[in-house]
Amino acid sequence: MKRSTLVKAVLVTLFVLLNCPTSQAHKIRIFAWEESGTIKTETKFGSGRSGINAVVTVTNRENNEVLLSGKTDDKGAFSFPIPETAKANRYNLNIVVNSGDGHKGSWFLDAADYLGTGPDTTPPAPLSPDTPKISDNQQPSSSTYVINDQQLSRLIESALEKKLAPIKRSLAEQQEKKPTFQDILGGIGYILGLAGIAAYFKSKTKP
Amino acid sequence: MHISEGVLSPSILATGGAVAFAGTAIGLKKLDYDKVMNVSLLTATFFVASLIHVPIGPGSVHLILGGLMGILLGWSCFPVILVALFLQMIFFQYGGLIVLGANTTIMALPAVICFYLFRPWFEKNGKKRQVAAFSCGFLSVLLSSLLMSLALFSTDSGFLHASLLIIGAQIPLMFIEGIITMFAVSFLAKVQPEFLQIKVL
Repeated sequence: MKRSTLVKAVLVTLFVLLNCPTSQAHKIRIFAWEESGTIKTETKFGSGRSGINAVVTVTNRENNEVLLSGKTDDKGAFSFPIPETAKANRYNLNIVVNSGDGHKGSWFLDAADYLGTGPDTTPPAPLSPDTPKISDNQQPSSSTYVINDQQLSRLIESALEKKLAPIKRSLAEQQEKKPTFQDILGGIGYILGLAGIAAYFKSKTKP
Repeated sequence: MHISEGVLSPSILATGGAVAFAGTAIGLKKLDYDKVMNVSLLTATFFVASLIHVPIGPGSVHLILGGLMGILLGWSCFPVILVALFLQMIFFQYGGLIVLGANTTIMALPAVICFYLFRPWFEKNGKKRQVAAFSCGFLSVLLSSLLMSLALFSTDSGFLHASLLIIGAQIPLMFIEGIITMFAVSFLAKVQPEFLQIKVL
């Protein structure tokens, strides 16, 4: 009777625990994405609270050279323009956040992630003089513009940039693994397994 | 309470590791192997407790239950906390392998101190046991945050401000842990009194 009460209590506790939406514990994490020339980062504690006033350091992953550092604002955000040296040498960045209370998190941002897949071969060029002109026999109306290929691709890029930014952000956010039901059960299983091993050796030594 | 990898200096890591090693050795020696199932249940409790997040105060804190482990297990809380932290590292990515020793010491050493301070009261029934349980929960968090601040402070004195913040952030947790330890103990005393008798000394 007493034992069943205990078992019930344990089950109820487990149920409450596993259904608690805010049951994420203390750990800091940072995620970063590129948005029209700047790299944006967001810092959060495992519980979902923003990491305020945490120190963010950006280093080159190959030689740990510090490129820049700064502090997160009151929403846990920190953004910086892509450093020229990083852009020129296609550095793979390591963005580290340290909240000062013993918690540290990092995020790897590859050059391909913030510069695109290939080196930028289309520098924004001004309208070239040989832009195809509207032929004289056509009626030039004031509402007709002629756009060359470069301008068009720049327009498309900036529009995509704008639309893709929230998607990039949420993709970056979702890369962090949170403890799942399986993790919890797995851990408990390991503990019981260890107890089983201990009991096994104990039973062997007994005469 | 889980210090991340790469924050502490090597000497602090070594000290923490050595204390954790010694404590685990003593704990395993003192462990009564007939109670190994009870001990593993407590390990599981400790393992899951860190998932309970306490949304009070300026920081983000979670339950530790070091006091409960200490008063029930004495020195054996060292191996228990070591195993639980190791599994938390693997499954939840809290802390890290190199700081495992330091983290174990931060949580287990205060628990052992609480054991020596309050176990005599704990043996008695009634009010004194409740007071002992509350003090255990309260003091273990207080001592843990002091140890953690000390570890951070001796790594880099620039952490002084943050260290003070840690202690401040843990104050609500001290009361919560005290109350939870008290209820857990009085519940166990009613339902499963032999659970409280895991004697180690």
